[in-house]
Amino acid sequence: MMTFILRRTGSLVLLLAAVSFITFTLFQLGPSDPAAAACGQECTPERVAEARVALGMDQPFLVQYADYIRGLFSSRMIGAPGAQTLCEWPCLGKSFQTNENVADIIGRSLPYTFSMAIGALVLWTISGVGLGLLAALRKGSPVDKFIVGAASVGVSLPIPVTGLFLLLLFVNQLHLLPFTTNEINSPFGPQGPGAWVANYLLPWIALAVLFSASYIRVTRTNMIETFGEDFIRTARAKGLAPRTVTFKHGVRAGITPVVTMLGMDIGLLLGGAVLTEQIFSVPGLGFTAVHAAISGDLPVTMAITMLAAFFVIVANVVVDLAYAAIDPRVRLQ
Amino acid sequence: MKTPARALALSVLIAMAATGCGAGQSQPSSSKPAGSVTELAPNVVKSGFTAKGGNINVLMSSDFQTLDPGNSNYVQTANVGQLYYRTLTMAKETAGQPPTVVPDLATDTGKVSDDGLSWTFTLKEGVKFEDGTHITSADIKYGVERTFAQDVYTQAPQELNAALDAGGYKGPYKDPSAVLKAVETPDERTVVFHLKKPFAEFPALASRSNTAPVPKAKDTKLDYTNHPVSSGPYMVESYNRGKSLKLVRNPHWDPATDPNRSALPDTFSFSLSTSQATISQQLLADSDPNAITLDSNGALQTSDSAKLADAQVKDRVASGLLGCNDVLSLNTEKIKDPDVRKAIALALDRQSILVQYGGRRFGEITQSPLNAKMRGYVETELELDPTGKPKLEEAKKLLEGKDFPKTLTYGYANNRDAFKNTGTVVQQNLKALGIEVELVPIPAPNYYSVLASEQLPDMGRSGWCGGADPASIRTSADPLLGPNNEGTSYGFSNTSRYFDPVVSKTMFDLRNTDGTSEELGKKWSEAFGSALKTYPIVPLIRSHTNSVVGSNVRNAQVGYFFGGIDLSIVGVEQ
Amino acid sequence: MTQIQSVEPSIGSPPLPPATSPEAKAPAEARSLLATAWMRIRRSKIALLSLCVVVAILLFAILAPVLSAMSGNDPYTSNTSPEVLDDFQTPGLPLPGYMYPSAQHWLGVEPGLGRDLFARLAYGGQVSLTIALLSTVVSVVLGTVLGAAAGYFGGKTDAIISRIMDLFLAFPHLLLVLSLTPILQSRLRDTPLGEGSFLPMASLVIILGFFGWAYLARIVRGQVLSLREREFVEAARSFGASHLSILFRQIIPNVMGVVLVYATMLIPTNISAEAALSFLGVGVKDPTPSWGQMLNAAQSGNWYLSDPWFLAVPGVMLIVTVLAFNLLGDAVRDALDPKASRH
Repeated sequence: MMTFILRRTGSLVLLLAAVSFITFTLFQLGPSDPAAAACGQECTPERVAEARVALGMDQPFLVQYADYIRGLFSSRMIGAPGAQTLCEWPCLGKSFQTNENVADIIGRSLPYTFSMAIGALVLWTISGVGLGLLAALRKGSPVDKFIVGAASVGVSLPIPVTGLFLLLLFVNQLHLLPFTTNEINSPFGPQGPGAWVANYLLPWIALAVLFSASYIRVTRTNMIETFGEDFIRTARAKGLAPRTVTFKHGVRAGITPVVTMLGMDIGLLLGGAVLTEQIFSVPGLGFTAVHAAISGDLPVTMAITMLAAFFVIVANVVVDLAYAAIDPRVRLQ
Repeated sequence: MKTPARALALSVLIAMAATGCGAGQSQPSSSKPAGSVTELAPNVVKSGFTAKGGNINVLMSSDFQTLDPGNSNYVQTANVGQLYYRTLTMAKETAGQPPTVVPDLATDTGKVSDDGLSWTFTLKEGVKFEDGTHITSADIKYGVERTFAQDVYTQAPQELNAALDAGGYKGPYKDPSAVLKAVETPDERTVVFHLKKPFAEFPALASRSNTAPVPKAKDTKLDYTNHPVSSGPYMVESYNRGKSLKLVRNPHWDPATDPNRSALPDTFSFSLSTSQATISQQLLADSDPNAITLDSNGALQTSDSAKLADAQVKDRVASGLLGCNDVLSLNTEKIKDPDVRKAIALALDRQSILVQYGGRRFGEITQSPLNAKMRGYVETELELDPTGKPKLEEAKKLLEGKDFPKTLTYGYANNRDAFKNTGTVVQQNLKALGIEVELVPIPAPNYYSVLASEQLPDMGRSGWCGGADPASIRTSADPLLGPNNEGTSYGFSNTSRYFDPVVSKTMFDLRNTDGTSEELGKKWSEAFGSALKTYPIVPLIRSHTNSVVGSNVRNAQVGYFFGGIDLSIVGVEQ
Repeated sequence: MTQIQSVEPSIGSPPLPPATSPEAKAPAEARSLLATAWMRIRRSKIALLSLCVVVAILLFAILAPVLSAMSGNDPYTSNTSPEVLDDFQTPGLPLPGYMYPSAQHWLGVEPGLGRDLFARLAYGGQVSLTIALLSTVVSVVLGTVLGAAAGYFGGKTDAIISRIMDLFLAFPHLLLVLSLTPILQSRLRDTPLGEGSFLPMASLVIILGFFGWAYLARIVRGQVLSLREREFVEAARSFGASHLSILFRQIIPNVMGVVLVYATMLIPTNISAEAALSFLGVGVKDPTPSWGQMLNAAQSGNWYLSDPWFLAVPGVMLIVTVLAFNLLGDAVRDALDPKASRH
């Protein structure tokens, strides 16, 4: 177990290093020049040169990268000679646009992304696993067919279409839900949990429709498969009550792939649901990254890309561990 | 070396580019009879209100790039800056008109020496920072010094600095022993500026944020934006970057020293990351009666236009023409023949282009990027149809027997649909002349630097807002079509690369000519007119902004320069 | 094995993992597998229906020039005259006779520029489907070859390819694609691929294709690992067949079932991804139509709030297409993997 964790942590660090270096390189190749963007129409060559100094881009590429990595481990000073300002640990650089510490930008975006992820997650897990289980238990019945059909439709709904449709219907036409506001990013805020739910309900639904479809299908398939396996038949033969068989043995074993999926999805979603955040203008990580990418704000795009990769990689490790914990048939090698 | 006036106008361009304002200004004109004149008359929402108190909620789609007066070329920052910093003089807004320059921290708009090379300002008595200390001439000078550090402040406004006889001064940081001799402070209340050349419109330059006082002891460099020390009626109570900004009254601001700002509300609360689409829907629905926005075009989307006439909305629309003009520049090095350029201009359906900008409520079709309200304006007769209809037959006739380029590129900043759609209209129009147009998207932040580079497209839209003294013709004419500093070629921001040995020489000489603003304006206007007749640029649209405000908001006017609700006079009913 | 499930615009990871039970057969048997599969598909009503819809949509796209010509329109000609678009109340909104389907404009016209919506939908289908199909081909070829190579050669080759796969699976695709597309487009501009409307298409094909291979490669690798010890491979080896020959003649034909299943599922994923990227403004750009670009146009200026029709036209088309491809994909999977279909 220990060696497993150590090995995975080691590969995690290596992967992150690779991700960071590739991202850093790619963004340097971009068509937009942040220094030229900083001074706009007044960009005489001299002024661009000054802007490069201000943005720290006058340094050689590898020095810039090394400085960046150093900031991950300790505070550092950033800026032109004589006018440096402190970038506190963890220093992910400062925004080219607003000179704000990138870590602060990420810090304030995270609660929005969390808010979106949590609700959507709960919604789709409950509906996905529940309906999948129901379909498996009623295999071949009209209920099963309906659920499977609905799942096929659900997985085919592109977020831009559902998202815009939900906005149009519930906010613009029926006025059932309020306009989204950035005042609310936690159920424990002064506005209370009700306002939090109302604020995030539509993005939750848009995400859940898409996601729960996959969960329905995976749950259903795996439950049916598990019910057919030997140990379940044995349990039945031993005369255990059907309910006990279903929930204690069947679900426990059949749920494993679902947990795997869930882990990976959480990892992906924490990196920011770019489209959903964009459509519902939720200023989470995805939204922030898109705006940074558009305005050439390299340090911000860079940091969010790395953070998102980090979440995915960590989720991978966690999933493998959970896999072993849940399913007695699996042992870590 | 840039000449001051040119730099002045330039900086506004940058502000426009950066805020999407120039791009983002709206426009209308009407093909229906009547309409357009009354339609575009400025409207101030419920003016004459004087009661103090209350809170105004300002909805914005993004955080301010900066609140630091020494690092700002943004109209939004200039607008909110009126609340927390004061300058020697001030450009006072009146809806639909170029602002007027009035004294602010200084007792008058400056006294010029006989040789025209020195301007002297005297500070009012009793002006204080938010901590109660007196504002001295040293604080003004330090504010100016900071703006020379372009390797720290990439957005430092340069038009004032370019006029000063500053030598190679690079700001107070890199070499703290360097001295800025161009600004002298003989006593605590006197500031003297020394210029390279006489500059009749210097009081307008003194209204730029360079002259906002900054106490040296409290200069936190790039972090100054987090809490600029207030010299105005409000100060920063809390600033949560990217989320919210709260301004409260500055107890040490004395209204007796400040007739320009009525400062009615007790507080301003800024919400900094609501999407534009949401802002416009909230304002139209009046879901917050204390709300306004500073986003360009009042955050309105094209399709929102119809709702401006609704009974529940129309009394809440502040509106006015801006100093901003959009033109189509034609690369004169690629399209050399003036007749071909004229044919292109005549073939354009400018009515269709106006529709892309949102139609008649968002701007008017213009015949010149100069405004009749400018000092010394002389009209230039162009053959373009004033209603914007194309003159296709005349255009085709001009091209008969000519050798002209069969394919052209149109470059556009990729941050606004109207720019791209304008290209689609141009594409369609020029097809009738047998010219294929390719649309080339350009990343918006780099748009103007691409236009100034070798990757310059054959055609491109550019925006123009005038300057701190938008009533001066030179500040529009020179940057658009003027020559470089040596007078040997086209100027840096002259994206049509227009250079005519005679006309450009005239403009070059005008830069060194002394005279009243009126006289110079007339001469600039004439030179610009002769350039315009060879169609290096095609005038398109003058911006008109509508900004919907909440039902409790009073005295809401759209600033000609700010392009948004003027925060210095707005009030709220409680 | 962990599976990457698609978040939002999933790139490269289809909604459902294909079954992974390798049923190794000699090459000849693989062909008969396809025949059986086709028999099974013909027996399922849903499969047949979705196949018909897919064919109809493909025809609709292929015949775009003919159909548009029949309606007398093309996707690029704008018409902003005051007879077509309102220039007073809501400037740019199509007037009543032009908003909805009519004899002249089968789906009405676009707001703002007044171009024919039907022609744009048909031509947009060409663009969207071409991108989806070509990028799928790129992913499948890369995934199959690299996955098979990793599984077959093992050792260092496997280690290197597997690490690259991990890297690709870890990257936040959409974020990276958002930043990469402009870079790629600026690099492609001066090549033959950079001609006009080819540019965004080429860059999307490359990007979607390039990010979609890793997941398939992982599956193929797993299958090949178990295949390479089988008798027929051993036999080929003992006859002195070269590695390449074994790889392409013996191994890859045997994983074609899984590859085919994956490919049919990747197509709808790529259709959605194109729509997502173009919707965000980094994919296909006006004036070139695509379904994602049309969604973008419906949202820009909030036109879809003025009339949901502008959202409905590309939206319904997109949903129907993705649904049909998904159902077809399910059918192909069930047919090729009898074990999965019995549930």
